[in-house]
Amino acid sequence: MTDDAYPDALPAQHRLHWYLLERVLGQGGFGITYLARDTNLDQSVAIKEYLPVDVATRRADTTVRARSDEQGERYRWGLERFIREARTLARFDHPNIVRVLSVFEQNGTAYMVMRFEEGENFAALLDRKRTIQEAELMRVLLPVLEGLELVHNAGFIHRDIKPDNIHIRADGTPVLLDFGSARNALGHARTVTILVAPGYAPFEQYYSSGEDQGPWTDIYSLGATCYRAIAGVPPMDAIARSKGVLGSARDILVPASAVGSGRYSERLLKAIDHALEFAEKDRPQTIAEWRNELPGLEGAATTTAPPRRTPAAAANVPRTPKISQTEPSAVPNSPHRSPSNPHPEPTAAPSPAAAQPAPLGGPSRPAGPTAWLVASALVGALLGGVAGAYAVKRWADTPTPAPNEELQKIKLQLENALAKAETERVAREKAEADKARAESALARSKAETERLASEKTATEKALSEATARARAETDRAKTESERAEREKAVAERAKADSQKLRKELDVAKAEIERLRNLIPGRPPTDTTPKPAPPPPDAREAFKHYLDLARRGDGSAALKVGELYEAGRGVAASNNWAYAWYSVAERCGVTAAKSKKDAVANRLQPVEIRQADKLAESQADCKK
Amino acid sequence: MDYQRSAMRVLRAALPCVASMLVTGCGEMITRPPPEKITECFTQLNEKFEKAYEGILAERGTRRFTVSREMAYDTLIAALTRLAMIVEAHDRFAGTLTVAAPAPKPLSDQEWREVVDTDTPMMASVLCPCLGMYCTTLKFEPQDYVIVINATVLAAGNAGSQVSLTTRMREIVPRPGVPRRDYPPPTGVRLALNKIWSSFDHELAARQLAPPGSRR
Repeated sequence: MTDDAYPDALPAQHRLHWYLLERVLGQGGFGITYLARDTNLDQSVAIKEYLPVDVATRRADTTVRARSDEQGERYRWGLERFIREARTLARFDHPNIVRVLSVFEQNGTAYMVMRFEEGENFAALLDRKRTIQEAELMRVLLPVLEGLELVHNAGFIHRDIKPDNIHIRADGTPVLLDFGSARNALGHARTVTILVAPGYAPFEQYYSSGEDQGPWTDIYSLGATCYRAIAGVPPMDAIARSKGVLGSARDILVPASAVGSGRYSERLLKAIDHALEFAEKDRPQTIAEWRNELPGLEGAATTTAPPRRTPAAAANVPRTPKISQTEPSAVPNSPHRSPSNPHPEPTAAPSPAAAQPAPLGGPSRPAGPTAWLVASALVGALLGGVAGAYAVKRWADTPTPAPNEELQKIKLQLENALAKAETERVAREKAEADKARAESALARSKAETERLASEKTATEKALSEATARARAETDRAKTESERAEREKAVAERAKADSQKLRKELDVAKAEIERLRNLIPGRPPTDTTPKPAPPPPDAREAFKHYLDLARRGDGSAALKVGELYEAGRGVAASNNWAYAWYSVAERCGVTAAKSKKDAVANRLQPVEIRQADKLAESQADCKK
Repeated sequence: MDYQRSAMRVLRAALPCVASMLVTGCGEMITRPPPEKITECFTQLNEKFEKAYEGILAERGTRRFTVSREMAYDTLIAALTRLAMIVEAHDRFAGTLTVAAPAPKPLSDQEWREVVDTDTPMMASVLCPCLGMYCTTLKFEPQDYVIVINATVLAAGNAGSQVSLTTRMREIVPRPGVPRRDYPPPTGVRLALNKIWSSFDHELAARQLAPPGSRR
């Protein structure tokens, strides 16, 4: 399991309590999700391990630790959030919300055990199909709404709804995942770190500290998810929308009712547009309110026409203010209009035949040759220069006082060309970005391969040299061993002699001492053993000095205070540094007072009193 | 008076949390006072907090128990870890204990709301007259702070023991230009002490009921 793709993952067959890890399902910035076997119940589970790679790392003993002391606090805080997420989820037992079975701490981190759901991620499904039909969309949306309503009713909001966080089971039912950003809807002490999915997060999630967020926040994200499902691209990012809304009072998001016209029921498209209202107060305020606007499963359009490719630029084409279809001159041209059937009849619930876009431009008379010539010239001008095209579009956007069939036709074609050019530009940029990413990955991979090859050569060389050295060493050791045997015998004899001499020496010393003590007025010899030197390791040194200080050694107490103050060998604490300096001062260590006074400046008066009492309670000073 | 009341109302709406002071500019229309002015106002607030804190600690910061020092020490560790505090340093022999956890621990989020509701008017009454409308742009958040509790467990007469607690806020990452805060809000201190002593009593009762050797 610890392959190149997941170097931080625990190995396959690793056991966490009674869960046996089988393989990695995926890894994100905050952790790794494993497929595991619950050996007690003999069933598959998904286990999410908290491992935020930017602040923590896995050690060789499989434990997870913060990368540094400074990041320790952040790591612990995140760990607590992770456990809180598990507890939040565990409150909900609903078929459309991921079921949390357990959470536990191990290896210095935490693990969330979830029911394993087979199926496909909704984002992957949309990537594969690009768009889906209304009935299929409603089969995903309505159950998710049910689950989410339960969450909202419990006072929580999800805050990160997007296709990636919806899982489609093998039977087609959806499950809402990843409540890592969930928070209490009605007030919460923490400021919410901005964790937003561009395109799916409403504007209030970018700037507000939480007061303006509520069920309508999740409704926006669901609306955006639906938009993605019908348009093939997510809606424009809320920040980009804000520039349009705040700058010119015009929303620059192409509405779902334009993008999906003819392919989806008007009711669904209106509901999506309502959910995607820029201002939170303009959106449905509750799931129930929004659900009432939706068509429902039985009312969903079941068009069988293949979903047309909607240009990626659809979400970025500026839109004119909302105008109903009865005002053809001001309605933006639909970018997916079919040239072969540009003027079908509008219909509320599209049948297969009505799946073509509704006429948005003008009367249905075909354009004459003159109009085509003019259109061709204008399209040519567009491709020749953006400025020219922009000017023409501005002109085309200007409402005409009286309908002019040819001009309307030209306008439609011009806007088609604009949309197409924009689509191509976006596709080109995406392809270039993909290519650059791929090249970068390739270069990294190549460099890594070269590095590994170089390391391999070096290792082989080192191994060969080591083998030769080891052989020579063995020969030498053999000779040495024989010599050592001889020397050992000599040493044993010498040791016996030495012990004999030492005993004689001790007897002689005792005799000398006895004789010396017979001399009147001579003080007895100091036989106190000298103190052992402190160990070099800071932790051991702290223990060493603490032991001495507890026995009343003033100098050791000073040292303990210094180690507490510096946080060497023990967690830093000015409180306990002050206390031990006080002990040292009481034992007559003159340097202790200035240190104690310096630390006192950083303490509260009540902490000083506490430390003083502590110092008084310690052992008496050694005389 | 009207000004103060309206400023308090605005501040109550603008300050969802109280413990840490994260100064952020939220409005381009409101001028940020000079740093020395902010420091001066926050010093006033710190002094007010300190005074309240000292009063609360004098009243309920220290308690005596008729159990041995060793038992009181072990009970205290169990009581604090039960409240999700993490042991940073301990010296059972000397009787010192340091525990810490990200704010608002040991309080729950709900208890923290109570702190916010109770102490915000008091803070507004200090900061708003001093900083003017700029006080509405201040956000008081518990994140980025760690609550540290220092405890001593000392022997008291007749084989009894005395447990003393102090608390302070430690910044995870110090912010240059923002005045330091050592004192948690008074209601927070009061609630936390109540919670710790309650946990201690509960743990002590359990230990006294438990047969010898069944607990650490």
